[in-house]
Amino acid sequence: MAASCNLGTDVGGTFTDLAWCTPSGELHCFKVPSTPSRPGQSILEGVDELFGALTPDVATWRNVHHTHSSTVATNALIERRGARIGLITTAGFRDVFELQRLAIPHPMRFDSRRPEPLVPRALVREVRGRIGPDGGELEPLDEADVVEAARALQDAGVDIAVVGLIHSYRNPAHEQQARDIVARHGLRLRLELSSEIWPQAREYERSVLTALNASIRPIVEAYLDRLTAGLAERGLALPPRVARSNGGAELATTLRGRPVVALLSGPAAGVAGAAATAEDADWTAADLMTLDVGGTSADIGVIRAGRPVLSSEEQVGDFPVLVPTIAVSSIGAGGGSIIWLDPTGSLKVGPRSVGADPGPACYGTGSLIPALTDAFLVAGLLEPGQRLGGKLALRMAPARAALDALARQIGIGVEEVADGAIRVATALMAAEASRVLARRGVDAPSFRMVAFGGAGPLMAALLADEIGIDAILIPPVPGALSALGAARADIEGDLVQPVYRRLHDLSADALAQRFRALAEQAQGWAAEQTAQLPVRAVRVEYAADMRYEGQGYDVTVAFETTWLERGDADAIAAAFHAAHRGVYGHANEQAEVWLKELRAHIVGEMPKARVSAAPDDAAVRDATTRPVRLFGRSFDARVVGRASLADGRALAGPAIVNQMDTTTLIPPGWSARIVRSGALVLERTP
Amino acid sequence: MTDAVTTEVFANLFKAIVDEMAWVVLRSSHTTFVKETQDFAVALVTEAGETFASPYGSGATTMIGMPMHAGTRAFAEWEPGDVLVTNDPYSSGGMVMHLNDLYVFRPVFADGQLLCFAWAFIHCTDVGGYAPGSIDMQNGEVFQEGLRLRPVKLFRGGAINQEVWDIFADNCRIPALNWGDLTACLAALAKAEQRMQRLAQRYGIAAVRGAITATIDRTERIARDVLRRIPAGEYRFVDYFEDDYISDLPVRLALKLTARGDGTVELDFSGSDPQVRAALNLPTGSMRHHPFLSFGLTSFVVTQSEAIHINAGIIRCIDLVLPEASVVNSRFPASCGMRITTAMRIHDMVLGVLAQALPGTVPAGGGNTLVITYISTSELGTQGRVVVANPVPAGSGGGPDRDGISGTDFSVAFLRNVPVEVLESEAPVLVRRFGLLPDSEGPGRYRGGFGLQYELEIRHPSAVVVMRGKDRHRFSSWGVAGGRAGAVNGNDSLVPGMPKRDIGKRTVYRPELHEVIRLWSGGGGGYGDPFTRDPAAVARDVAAGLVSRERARAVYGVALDGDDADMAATEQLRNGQRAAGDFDFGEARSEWERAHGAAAERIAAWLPSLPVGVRRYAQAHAYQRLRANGPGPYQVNEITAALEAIGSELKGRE
Repeated sequence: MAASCNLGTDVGGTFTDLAWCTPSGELHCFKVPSTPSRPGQSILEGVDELFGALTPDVATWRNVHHTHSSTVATNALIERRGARIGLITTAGFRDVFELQRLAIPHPMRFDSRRPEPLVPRALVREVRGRIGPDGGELEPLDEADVVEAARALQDAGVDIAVVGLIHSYRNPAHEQQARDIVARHGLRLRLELSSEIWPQAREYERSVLTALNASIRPIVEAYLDRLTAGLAERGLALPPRVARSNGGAELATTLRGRPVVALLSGPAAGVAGAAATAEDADWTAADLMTLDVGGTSADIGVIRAGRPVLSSEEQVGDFPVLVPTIAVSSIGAGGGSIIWLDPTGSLKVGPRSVGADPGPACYGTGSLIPALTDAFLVAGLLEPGQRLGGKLALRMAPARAALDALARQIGIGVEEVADGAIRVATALMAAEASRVLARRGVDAPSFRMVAFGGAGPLMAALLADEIGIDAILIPPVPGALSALGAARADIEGDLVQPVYRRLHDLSADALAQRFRALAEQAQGWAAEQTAQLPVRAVRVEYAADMRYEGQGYDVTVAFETTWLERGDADAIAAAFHAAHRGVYGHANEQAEVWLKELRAHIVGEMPKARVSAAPDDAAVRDATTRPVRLFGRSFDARVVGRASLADGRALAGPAIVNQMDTTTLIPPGWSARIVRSGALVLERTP
Repeated sequence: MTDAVTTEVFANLFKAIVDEMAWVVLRSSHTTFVKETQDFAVALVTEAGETFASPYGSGATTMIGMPMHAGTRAFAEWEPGDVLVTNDPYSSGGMVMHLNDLYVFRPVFADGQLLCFAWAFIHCTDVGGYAPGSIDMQNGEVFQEGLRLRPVKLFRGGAINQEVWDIFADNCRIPALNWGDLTACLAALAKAEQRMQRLAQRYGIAAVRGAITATIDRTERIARDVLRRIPAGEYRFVDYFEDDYISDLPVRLALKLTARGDGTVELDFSGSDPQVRAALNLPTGSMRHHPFLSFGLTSFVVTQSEAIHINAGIIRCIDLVLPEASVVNSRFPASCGMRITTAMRIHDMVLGVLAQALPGTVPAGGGNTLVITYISTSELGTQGRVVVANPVPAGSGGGPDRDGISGTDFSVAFLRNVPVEVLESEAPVLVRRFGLLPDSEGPGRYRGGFGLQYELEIRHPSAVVVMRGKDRHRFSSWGVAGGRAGAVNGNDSLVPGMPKRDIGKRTVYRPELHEVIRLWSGGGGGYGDPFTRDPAAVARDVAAGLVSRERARAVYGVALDGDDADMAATEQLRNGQRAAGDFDFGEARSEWERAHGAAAERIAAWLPSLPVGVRRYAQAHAYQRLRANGPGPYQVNEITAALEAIGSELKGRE
């Protein structure tokens, strides 16, 4: 199949980004206003703009691979605009959503409460019948209960009912029977089975995942239908794909049934884009931390050996998401974060934000609420008159006035307040970065960083100094990384298969048989997803969650396919002992080993041209200097346009590099140069 | 950097370290109690034993700020790689509060100088003793509650003192799992040392030391700011355990809060009962500041502050007056296994005084109990298991502007349940029900949270059920500002084909195969007059199946038309009816106080004149004598006569 162009889109709250990559690696980015009231419309408008600007020929256009990420589902959830859903659960567990995991979000605050349940108690129905922990049926499913429950929910106007029965991850029979019963009795109620969405233990988490899926399904279906039709009308002949939370892409036609796997696709695509940019810059198989600082938050992700780290412990709003998701952690420290004083006169930054309206004081809208962007301006990191993301020109006077109010209260200068706020923001990000890396069991100094978003490149080196990182990469288009990540996404899927057996109770044949079943499922998925695609290769990575008998925790162990093909329990056991030793520092070779579940991660590798960005056209006078005050030191920083570094010369800090969608700070002790891919690389001077 | 900036920068960096420690414990611990229920904590502590950083998103929140000098100063000499371990309340001066809590300390050295300590504790599911899980409410002495380790060095310069651990391991039911949890803590401590060393390297030891002090000082100033809002004066509150597990004599707790107007608050527990022969005693070592007795105020400070780094700065502002050898300050060798019950009661007593001092800032009293259940098959020897089978808290009190929390209470709101699918895979039980108990809430304008009902079927003939922490089977939660008391707790059991059995308050119960144990917890007290509750909210509770129609009508004065409130009929029902009074303590307690309240005051004032060893005996006999006179209330002369008689009987006996 001929190489084709790739298009990726990312719908954000304010702007929709489009990234267009040609097979030779040319990259073009477009930005159009988002259309929150008509989800998907902004993508179509962006596509029109792109078509007008690039005028691709018909053959090229017909063969474009296009992948879209969106916040439509996430927003619907946060605003609780999802479908009206009900829950059918095992007798005795009507309150699984009321009680959640008992704890409240802030145990020391008298005003803290659990989040409002996804299904109100009045729409939860219990059915008798019980599967045991070993998957055996203890009591048959009560057909009359199912009929009554389904009828009651249907009468109550429920769109979709979640079926979350105890131990259905071990044995889905009762959930499946429930579906048959509902069909047999001619009820119209749509059912969503927890054993089909993600068959993993923990009744609350599995049921919530299923409820999230049911809740966003109608919205996502409508959105994808509109989008698909609109794109087809515009002559894009290949079917659209949707970016998933695991950083990969899936056909819109299959994803519409399981949209929950795409809930966190926006931030995930950003991290995936960062990983791709690092590869382009010859940071091959790198261990990276990503920093995305926008208006309201700083988002931090982790990439190991070139691949974004997946986690099964992410959250959407207040709800856990069990499916493998690129882990992105967010704190309320961005350009719009409010600077304030606590009662003792301590300087604080965030988590509250001024938002887009009124914006920071330096936007000159009349607001005098000081925000981090005001501190950047007063400290000299930004310049009066500069425009951020196409917004108003920055004004110094209101920024100083806003910070001055704080300065008077604590009896220091305005510059000191600005400097202090940047230091506090750096500490907040450093704290979050070390937490995030700790969760992945890694340590910052062995990592490098990719920084993007409006203010990421401004804060990156400061943060790197704090946590001991020595090299930073600023992508060529730091403002459109999620779109780029979508454009270059591989096809990726995840499967889980419950086993729950002692490893050595499984014969070699039985093990091989389970493997073949999973492999077949994986191959089937890959075949469906990669039809019509010029994939270079399909690989399936197998792993298992395992534990010692009697223990309450699992270790994920990567498998070699041959172990499974041969049913080689000894090799698997040895790998488990080694992995256990790796995490816990000890292992017990004599103990019985349990194989809880097999996992498959499927990757259809798409061809990827090394991207080189179109030249940046930010018109900045070269070689001016600007006084900067930072971390208690004052110095003059050179100010250059990014285009002027295109020759690969190293620029020693202190310096500031301007480009259209971001500003990069190169503090004293750092230097920067543009590498072949067009990325800006900052390194600590030895 | 100016102080305004330095403190905030370091406070965040310290917080990141303790968050990382907590994560290491969670990720690599072994027992369900730590991993699922999250009964553990970590902190960074000064050489003087003050906590300067503490996570508050994971792990136990009740111990934040615990004075740790008994650990940090246990040895004159520390070297890098040392680890101290202890689980003993009485040789640690009240730092450890029951034997299940295994504390570990590691000195943090930077450039050869001792900078601070890293600390962690885990709740060991079992440390030996009579009962699986080590705690029985009827334990009378600490010796029955497991093995005690005074502060000892488990590691010296990085080398393990294996004999110490072997003694511990040989005396508990789950040595391997305990070791797994302990190694998780050790990893967290080592990580903390690395992180602090890096900070010292980057900023210099002097700067870090300065920031440690400043971080605690700043929190203290914020706390004083909040506590200054309490109008100067004295506020009193009394509450009870309805009995002491070995007799029907209630255990009385008395609290006087004195606000001085300068941001310091005194909590005086004089008049609280002598220590008891039940696992309720708080071994607080006569400390002047102690988080277990003040965490109601700590939460108050946190709730009232927009941003506060939680550390020992808060309890610096809270002075305690603790009567010797009392249930709030017990002497060796009083048992203390389930002292959380007492701490919870005191948490809500603090709400009781604050409700008087600053109405509208704190919730009503919660169900205020926590039954911890275990399933043990430990008699199977090495094949046996001791597994936590869920905490069963009661509902919280209603707040001044929102309903209470169902199924948990503020004082233990960090505890998580054990998923049914996890529990059944680990213990031979089938959970038949884990859900809310309708009609259990304390009615109010903002009602209390609902209690829980928990039913589990036993599926192994060797299984023993442990249920500790039962109280409020008669004395209920209290409502405030016209809000009403909640329902009480209880339990029973069903053996197929037999009549229901009342398990009563026993902790250890040997069920039959397929016996179904049922526990239920009551709701929290209500806030405000239930007749002013939004009728639509009542209608929602009815539609949800949480409040019965009869109750909606009788207690809330709401008439329903289908699923909606009938506003006209409701108005008629409510016409003229208003709840009287401020606190509602429920019938049982009110009745007990009607008969014994005056006597209780007198007896409490008299007991300190007696030798410690005879006080509880004397108290019990004083009531016995009075009861011989009739059902009460008792006259002053009757009471005086009874006390004089007992006084002369006990003269000279210690």
